[in-house]
Amino acid sequence: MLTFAQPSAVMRRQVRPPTAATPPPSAAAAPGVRFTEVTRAAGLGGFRFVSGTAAKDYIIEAPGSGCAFLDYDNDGWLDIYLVNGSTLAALRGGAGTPGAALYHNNRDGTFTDVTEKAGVASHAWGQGVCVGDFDNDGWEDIYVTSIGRNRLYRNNHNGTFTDIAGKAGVALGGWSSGCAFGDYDGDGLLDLFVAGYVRFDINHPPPPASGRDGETGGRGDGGAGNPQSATRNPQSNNPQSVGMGASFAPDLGQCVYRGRRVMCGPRGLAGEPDHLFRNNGDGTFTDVSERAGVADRAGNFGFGAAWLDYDDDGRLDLLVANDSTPSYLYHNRGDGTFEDVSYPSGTALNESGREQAGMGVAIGDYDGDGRADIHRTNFADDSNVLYHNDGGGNFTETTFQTGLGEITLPFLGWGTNFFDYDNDGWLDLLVANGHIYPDVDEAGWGTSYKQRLLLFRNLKGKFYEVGSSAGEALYMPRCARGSSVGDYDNDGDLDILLSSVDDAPGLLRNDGASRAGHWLTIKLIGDPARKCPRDAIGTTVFCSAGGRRMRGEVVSGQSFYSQSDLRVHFGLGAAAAVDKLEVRWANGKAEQFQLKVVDQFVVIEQGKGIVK
Amino acid sequence: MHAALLIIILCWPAPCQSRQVNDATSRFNRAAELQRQGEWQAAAAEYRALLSVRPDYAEAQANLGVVLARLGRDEEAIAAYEAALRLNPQLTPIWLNLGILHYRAGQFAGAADALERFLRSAPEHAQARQLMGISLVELGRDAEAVTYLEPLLSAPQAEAAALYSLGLAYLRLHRAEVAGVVERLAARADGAALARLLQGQAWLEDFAFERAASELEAAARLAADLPRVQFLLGLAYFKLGRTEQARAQFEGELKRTPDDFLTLYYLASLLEKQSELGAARQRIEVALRQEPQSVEALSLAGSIMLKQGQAAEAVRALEQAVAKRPEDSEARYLLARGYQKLGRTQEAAREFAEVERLKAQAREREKERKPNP
Repeated sequence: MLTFAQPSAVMRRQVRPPTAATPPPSAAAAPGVRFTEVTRAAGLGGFRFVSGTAAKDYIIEAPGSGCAFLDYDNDGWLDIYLVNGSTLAALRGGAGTPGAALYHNNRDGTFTDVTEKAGVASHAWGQGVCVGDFDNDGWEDIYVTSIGRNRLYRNNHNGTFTDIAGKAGVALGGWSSGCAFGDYDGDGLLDLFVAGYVRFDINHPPPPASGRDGETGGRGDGGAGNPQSATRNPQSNNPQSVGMGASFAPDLGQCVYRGRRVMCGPRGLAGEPDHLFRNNGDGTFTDVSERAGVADRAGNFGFGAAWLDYDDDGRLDLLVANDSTPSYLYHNRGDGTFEDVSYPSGTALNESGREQAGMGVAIGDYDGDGRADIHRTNFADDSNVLYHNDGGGNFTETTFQTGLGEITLPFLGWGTNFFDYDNDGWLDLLVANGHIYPDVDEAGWGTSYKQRLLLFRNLKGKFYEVGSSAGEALYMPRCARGSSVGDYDNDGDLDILLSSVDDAPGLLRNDGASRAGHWLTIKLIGDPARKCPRDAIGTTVFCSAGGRRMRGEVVSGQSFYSQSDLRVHFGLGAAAAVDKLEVRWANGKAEQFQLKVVDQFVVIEQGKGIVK
Repeated sequence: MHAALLIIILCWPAPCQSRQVNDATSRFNRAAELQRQGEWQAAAAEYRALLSVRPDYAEAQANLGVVLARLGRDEEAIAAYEAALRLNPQLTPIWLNLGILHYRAGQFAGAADALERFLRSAPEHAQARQLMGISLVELGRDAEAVTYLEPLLSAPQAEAAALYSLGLAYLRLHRAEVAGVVERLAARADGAALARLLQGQAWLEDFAFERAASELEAAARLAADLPRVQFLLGLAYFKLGRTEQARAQFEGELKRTPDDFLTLYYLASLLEKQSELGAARQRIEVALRQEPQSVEALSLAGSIMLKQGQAAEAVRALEQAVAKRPEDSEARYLLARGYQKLGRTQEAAREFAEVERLKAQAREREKERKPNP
């Protein structure tokens, strides 16, 4: 890095980058709807996510861990599961491993740590979490990915779980990242997709960021990068200009990003394959990745994963956000195999043909045309991307014209969720942000290590960032990773759960949305005898109210490493009745219902109608 | 970059004065006298009249060039100098004059050629060395430029503009000496703005866009007419996602230099992102007139046309881009999307496969660099 003998006053002035500065209020924000940080008050303040050391020497310390809203005890109230990471020292046997935690919802706004009783602490270097009732017993099970052996916690119906990953054949052992349950073969049993990130050998790691392998390393000297100059040449293939991480500089024997020494990877490292496990129905799974055509032979760096039915043919397709490599979209052929349609669908790359550092994914019908669109988060200095589903298997990037482009450039995005934060009937968008290089604050790149969240309000298909209008909890900088949404206090609006690197979780209570607009929340119970998983994952619901037809889905996984409420929530705005509710059951026929009441929770059971 | 220029005004004496005075000589002398009196128009007319009967009169061609330069008719002056030098390459000062005029016209390749010829005879000529160095920087021949400009560091009378060019060359060569040049410029009354301009570019090269923007804003406040300051400031804003500010700067730069390729390119790129496709198209087409071979500009044009729903035109531009740089996976990807829109599915599939192959190849190259110990 160039340094000057006499830096000017202007240079010395610290400019607070937009990622950490308090944003101005926004006229587009929903009036009266704010988020309040209730982490401590709810009893979650004692938990701390651990992800290596502050120096962040290695890439395993970068992604952090995920979080989940789930109702593990079927009491109708969302509980919370927080995955935890570890340290190299612990992996090498020299220190204790922090554990994951399960918090039971006390139904009064507080939670109780029940980890020990539940037996779900994991004590691995945890990564992602997804939830699904894989054995159709009516109780949600938990799958936790790790650097090392994954866990499949089978719910014992009594507040305890048993890890059966090894016996079930889903333990793996490399670096598993995002995961999602979904019944791809239509047999009524939830299958499991597990993305793989990087092959990382802790005994032979790449050069550390600090220049020395250790748990307390300081910062290294800046390396001499040789970036292509935009002042002389137009944008080009130079990956450093399009928002990806470090590259290895052989002459320096270290990894550099914009001339600064940083952790190595993922570029230059070998990728970990992805895995699709078919549920055998007897508590075991079979790895069908190769046969199904989703094994990731290219070795791309998988992160976020999601099942979606993008062509509405009744079969679940598969989306994988890959870091620094083209992302995958697989079309389900219906015969147990998938066709890789990443390139022809337009979702492998951004609209300019560049691979991006894909992190998290959100699926939702943002423009109300009835089709599932895709949002994917990316590295800093690159925008997140929104792909509009045009139908016919084609997607068009609409990032900039919908307002999601320039504002996201300095942010490094991870978790992302479509949800109707103000109950106005349009899917808004949340993005959890945070950088991976701790000394980015010193670099003057217009970004920061801790970053604020971005919440975009959807006004008829265009997005407007709510700025400071929705409360301090949203703009307080964090090093966030996972994000989940769910109505933990059952008040009719969607709250936010966050995981952050080396920090406490974030529980952000939505205050005001249930007064701002009517709503309806639906728990769906599928009938395995009709080939629909019991928890109805993969089911699509269309809610017609107030002249609009909204799409909602029961989804496992998505976002980054995280699990949201399995119930389907609809904001209804001023509509005081639901004209029509169409439930397209996973692998089954659609059923229709009418509801003359709103602002309540209903339970719909396949073939039995509204049962509660 | 415009250093204070000294056009060498020479009145060549009439040749063969000791010989019989003929019509040509007396016309030459008349013209030279008019020139000495500052009667530029009359002198030019007289030289032209002489050259109509004696087109091989090198000195007359040379002096006509001087007079035309005085009249601000630089293109005609360049033609006259070139004619003179074709007749007699030994008219050494005329190489300098030609170099200066090329330089003034922004024709840096021509300037460098002419100055190089002049410096063969006068290697220590300070002004020629400075102009040569600046021209080479403008041509991107930074390492060569440094050899001409570096002696300025020990010359107290060095032009600020030449020092700035030296700093720019250092910067682009990733040489730490740029810091010294910034310091030196900052210490001069006429160098403060250039110091900040240079430092702003240093921050840009270092991806420190916030700092770059601050520094370039300060430079522009000190001297709004600094070369390319608006482009550079626009670029910093563009990289920071401050699109409206970037746009204003790029548009300002184009008011001064309407044909600047990079400014046109980035403005078109920005306008495309803002979905102002008509304006983006217009800018990129002007850019392509400057650099019709630019793969980046052809690709951007193709991308804009695709968004405008003009797939056939887009495919034509993108096919050109791919023909010029077959390994460009981004151009190929856009081409594949263009084929898709035209229903040319087989060609689309072929291009997608090629994109995939190129990206896999690039990844293999990354892996071969082996970050693992």
